[in-house]
Amino acid sequence: MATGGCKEIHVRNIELTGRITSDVRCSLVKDIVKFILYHREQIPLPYEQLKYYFERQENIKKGSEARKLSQLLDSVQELCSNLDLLFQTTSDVGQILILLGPTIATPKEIFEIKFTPNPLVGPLMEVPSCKMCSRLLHKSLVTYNTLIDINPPSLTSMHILFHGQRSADTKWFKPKHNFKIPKRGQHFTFQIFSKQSKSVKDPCQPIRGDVEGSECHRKEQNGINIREGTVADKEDFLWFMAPTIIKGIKDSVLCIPQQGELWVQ
Amino acid sequence: MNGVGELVDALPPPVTESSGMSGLKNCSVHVEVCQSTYSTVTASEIQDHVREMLYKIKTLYGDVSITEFEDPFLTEHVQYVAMTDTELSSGRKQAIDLCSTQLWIHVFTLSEDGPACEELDGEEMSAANHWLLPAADMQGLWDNLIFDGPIKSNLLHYAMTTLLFSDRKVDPSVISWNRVVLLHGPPGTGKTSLCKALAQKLTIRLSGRYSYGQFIEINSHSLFSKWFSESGKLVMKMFQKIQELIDDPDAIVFVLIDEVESLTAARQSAMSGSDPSDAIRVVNALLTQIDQIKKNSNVLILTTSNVTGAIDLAFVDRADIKQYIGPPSAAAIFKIYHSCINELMKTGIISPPQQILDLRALEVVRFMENDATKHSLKLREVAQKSYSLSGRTLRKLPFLAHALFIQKPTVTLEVFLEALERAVQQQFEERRGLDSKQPPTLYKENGTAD
Repeated sequence: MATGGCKEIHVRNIELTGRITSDVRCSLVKDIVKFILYHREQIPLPYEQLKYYFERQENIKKGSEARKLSQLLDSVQELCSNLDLLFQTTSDVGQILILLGPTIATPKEIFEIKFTPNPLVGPLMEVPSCKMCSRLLHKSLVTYNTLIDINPPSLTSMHILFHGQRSADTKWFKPKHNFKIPKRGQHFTFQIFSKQSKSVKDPCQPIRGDVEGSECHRKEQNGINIREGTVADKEDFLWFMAPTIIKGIKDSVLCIPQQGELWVQ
Repeated sequence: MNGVGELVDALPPPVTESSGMSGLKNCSVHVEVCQSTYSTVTASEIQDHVREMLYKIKTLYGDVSITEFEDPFLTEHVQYVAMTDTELSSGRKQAIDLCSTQLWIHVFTLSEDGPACEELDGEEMSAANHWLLPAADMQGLWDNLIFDGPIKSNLLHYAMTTLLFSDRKVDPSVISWNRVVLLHGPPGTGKTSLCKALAQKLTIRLSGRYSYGQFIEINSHSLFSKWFSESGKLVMKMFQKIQELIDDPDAIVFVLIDEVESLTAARQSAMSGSDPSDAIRVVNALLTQIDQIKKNSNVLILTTSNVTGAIDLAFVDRADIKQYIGPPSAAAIFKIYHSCINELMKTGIISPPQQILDLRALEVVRFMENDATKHSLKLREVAQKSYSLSGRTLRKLPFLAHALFIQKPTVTLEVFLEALERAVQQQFEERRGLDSKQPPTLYKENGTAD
């Protein structure tokens, strides 16, 4: 591979239909954050369920872990509202990184979300609902065997970064000048693109069509594209990091008498 | 008051230990520029603006930190510009002609995340603390560490030579160096702080070569397993993690092993049967791992110890620099108190603010007592009385002085100095209570007064 001795990058293509607006992108990113938190065993229950319990103070043991839980819920909430703001103000967020590990330079797992730009068909294409996209996304993630096969890391912290232009107007995300995608740890890439961008490629966009090519071609190129892209745009683009770090919490925050009763409630 | 500065310049430079180097003119000066957290401009843009500003200023005197700028660009994007370590090599303040000296401008941003924990697989406890450098936690440490003699510049030069040799690919089988620094001395003299400060300083100085620094503080006790014979393996695991970090050629890695004697307790005492043989395995694992790690060019191992006698000889032998750090001399104590009082004046606890002259300025006026030098001489007297106290104690004495003898939100300098003197006396009384055998000896300063 182009990146030399580094580990293989696991690529998952996620197909959606219609024009992917920034609203949809934003909700997909939020969904992936919550999904990773639970799937990589940083929280004992799915995010929404945990939040539900916490708000009602059901099944939650009081103590230091509960405080950590409230901190986690707060920081996820803060992150989500700032992601909303980001996607509203900046139209071309194409790359998001979610890192699991003690620091951003030493992640254990890297999740890279890449959005392929919409084809220039414009308003003619239908805009799918967030819910529909979310369903497709979850279906794709849940059936992603590679992710299931790799053992999740122990409790650690989650860092979120996005790749944006220098001029990006963010008051919350902090620029990280020297940041490069680390080569350490497991690397997963979620490539999110619209199905119709392929079917309509020829008449509208001959140039783009060459780049996108067939799906297997895309797979081959992925590893190289990621690195080359960051080098070429280095001057104009920067990584911005969310100032809140989401720290995982232990299972002991819950006091559910029997595992079986969990789903009855 | 300004006349004093000029007088200092007129005097011949004092003879320092590293004589010969002090007369060097037109050497290079390092300028550290701390970029604001939310600034997104490139480092080269900032460098241009800073250079322009410095050319406009033309001359600066000694180490200066600039926080207010005329240039609106700098106001927006820069927290401060600091000319640093011009006093380290010569040991005194000197005027710097900014137009003719070579300026090394280092732009950096501070990483504000606190320490992160590094865990070993299958172990409950965290085995190491981990900082990304330059870290906000460690900013300012370097300037506030005051030692006698050229300890700080020695360490800096050592690290620079190490990196130069690795860069030029000097054959390590011909000239051998180990990348291990051992600082030893009594408790509270700033060994651990010096390690952190050195790492921070080097990361900033080398920001052109390495894009970031990693600082790993190993918890020695966590490397001992409850299972017999497993401790050696834990050391191996720890160093495997470190090796992973070193594998990134863009990072410079500092490994701090604090209180290293707990890991490398002399093998001889283990042989005598009082310790289990597991301890020997730890020493052996550590030594072989250090030999492994020294092959990489971007790592420096910093170790500290209170009891040098108990460390394994083979380890001591591997350390390139074995620096003793003793309690500060009266001159250094004076500097420490001086910085403490400046801080209290800045925060308005000592008011009205009054200038305290440094020792060199006092020397120029031949320690004559008048209105301008009265307080400075008093402080010098207190500093002389405080000799043999550790740096850690000295730093907390102004706090104790306020807590025990003042208890008011604002105080004049005169009253504060009285309180400080009483606090010093109390320290010695406490010490006498703990250890009646050793009465404190008054230090007679040599060399400064003639």
